[in-house]
Amino acid sequence: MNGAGGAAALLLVLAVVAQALWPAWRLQIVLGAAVLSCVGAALGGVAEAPAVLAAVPWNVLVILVALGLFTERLAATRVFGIASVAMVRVARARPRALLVLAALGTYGVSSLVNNLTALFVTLPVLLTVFALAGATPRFLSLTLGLMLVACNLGGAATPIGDFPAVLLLGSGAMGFSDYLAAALPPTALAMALMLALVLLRRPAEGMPDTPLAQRLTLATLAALYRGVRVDRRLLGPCLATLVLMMAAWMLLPPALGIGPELVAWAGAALVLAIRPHDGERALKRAVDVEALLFLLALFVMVAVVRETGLFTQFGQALAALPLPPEGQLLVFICAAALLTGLFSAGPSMAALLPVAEQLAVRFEPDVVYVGLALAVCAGSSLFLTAATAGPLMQSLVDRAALRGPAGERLQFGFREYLRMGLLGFVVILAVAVARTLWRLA
Amino acid sequence: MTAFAAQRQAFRLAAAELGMASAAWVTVEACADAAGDAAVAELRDALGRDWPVLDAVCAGWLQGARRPRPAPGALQAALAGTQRLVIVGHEALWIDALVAALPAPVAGGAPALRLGLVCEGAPLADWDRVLANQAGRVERLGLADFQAWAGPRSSLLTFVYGQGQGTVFVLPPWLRVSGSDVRLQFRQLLGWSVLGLPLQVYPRWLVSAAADTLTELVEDVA
Repeated sequence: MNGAGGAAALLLVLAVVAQALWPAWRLQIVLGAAVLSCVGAALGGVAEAPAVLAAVPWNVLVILVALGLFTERLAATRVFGIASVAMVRVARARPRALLVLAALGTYGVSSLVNNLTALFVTLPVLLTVFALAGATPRFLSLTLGLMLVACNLGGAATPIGDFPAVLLLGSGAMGFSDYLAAALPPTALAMALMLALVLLRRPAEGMPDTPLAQRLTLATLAALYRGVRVDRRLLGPCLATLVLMMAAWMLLPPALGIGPELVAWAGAALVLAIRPHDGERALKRAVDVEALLFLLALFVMVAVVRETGLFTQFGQALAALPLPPEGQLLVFICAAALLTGLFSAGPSMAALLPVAEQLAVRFEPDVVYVGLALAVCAGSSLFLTAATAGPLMQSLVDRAALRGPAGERLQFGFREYLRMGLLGFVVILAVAVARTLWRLA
Repeated sequence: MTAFAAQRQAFRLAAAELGMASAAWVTVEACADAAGDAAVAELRDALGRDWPVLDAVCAGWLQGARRPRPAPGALQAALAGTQRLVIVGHEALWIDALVAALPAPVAGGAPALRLGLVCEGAPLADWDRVLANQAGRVERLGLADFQAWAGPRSSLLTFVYGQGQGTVFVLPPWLRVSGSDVRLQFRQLLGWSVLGLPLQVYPRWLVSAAADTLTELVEDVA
């Protein structure tokens, strides 16, 4: 390992560890570390600041901002909230059916919008049902835990679902159609396995499941949403734009020079222009500046490490492991999953993609990249803190002030999620490993 | 877990978002639909002491009372000359009826009567959802900024759940907006009587206010 590379990598690791330990200061930690990294690279003769900044994947940031804005407009149509209420009606507020539909619904929604938004639009209705119908601590933990895993799986199912897949799309590692065809089946399989395993544990045992409780729940829910309507005038253009964006992502030839970031940007501009007043407000208030700055800082640090040639050395070291090529790839996938569990998806994916690029030279690219995306998905599911949406779910549950059968306050935190997290980690990683071995066979 | 143990939490949420009287009617109707009057009596035994408005509605139901159809005509008459109405407290059935009775605003124009709801005093309420039910006709206000709506063509309105000797039972936020400093800033302070049934247990969650803090008490006559 060269000295400059080692120092830059150490700084990156320290920043990632520090931001995990002191999340309240995460932005200052990573931005400060990014500045130090840049200064070190300039003084150490590794690269000057313009070169480092030029290596930042700005198109990924453009896609993230554009999809965030698109999602905000789509959520403003209230279609997801209404769909969630319809889901409860279809389930007739029966706990077992509710669990299944909530998990599948979350998987579907998070494959279209980012994980945070997916939870923001689906969870309130479910928490309302828990407040109305009551829930045992076990049912609450299993349902919410499964939803969180479903959120991660849905995010990994499509190239626009969450950051790791967006990074693959934006970096040009994989095209929209290729990623969709390769990632959708294994994530759907993992979802089905998770659902089956959770249902085997009889999650609804002890839950109130009487016609009276169901009637009361449905009547109150109907009253709470009595006048809430889907904004069809906004939904129509939003869906039409989504179809156009997907068609462009799948059909436009790369030679045209219109990349996925430009398509996302144009799509966001189109939906923002439908209602210019609301669009302008969304631009000023709905952009997730925190996530943007966090990722920018990570990208800067990764760019410095890349300039030192360390990732190439990692790739070579992996190739030198006394294992068959399949084994080397599996080591990479398992390490990626564990690193993500510890450091969360953003930092891990940003740091591991350059190594994956080295591996993609030796293997079919989709085997490496989808394996990496699934590994990051598994790692994101391991701990509540690793999942992008985990802390959000925790705070929404806290705010709902739910009570259990004995009047005890219901909690959903690190401990309550852990068993489901371990199950999700094992199942998704097993699917990732199985897919990799199957593709290499 | 009995059905009514879960209902303690459920009613708390429903009361926060729908208002105590509206939530009580929804709950009692659903209960009677599912399991008959015996279940309403059981509901009253289980939750009535904690929720006096629900207790009154259960008792009324068992004596033949049914969900009221709020008639905002008398209120509209009292609002003659008012252009901005600040509503303190929330009762979904009654606000729905008022909104439905008002003429729809001309496209792109301001409504003849602007409605603002003081979204305070119910920590469990999802105020975005509460307002989403009114299709943009009701605007969000807070205790900190409701006075921005004050003026000679502005009125304050709250819901009245019962009357005693020279007193009315109202929601606690009313006490915070009906002080002598505020009342001079508004054209009138109206009460809208919504329960029409006697409160039979101690009016927990409600406060007693001097009846003369109200300029007018509008009875809900169907």
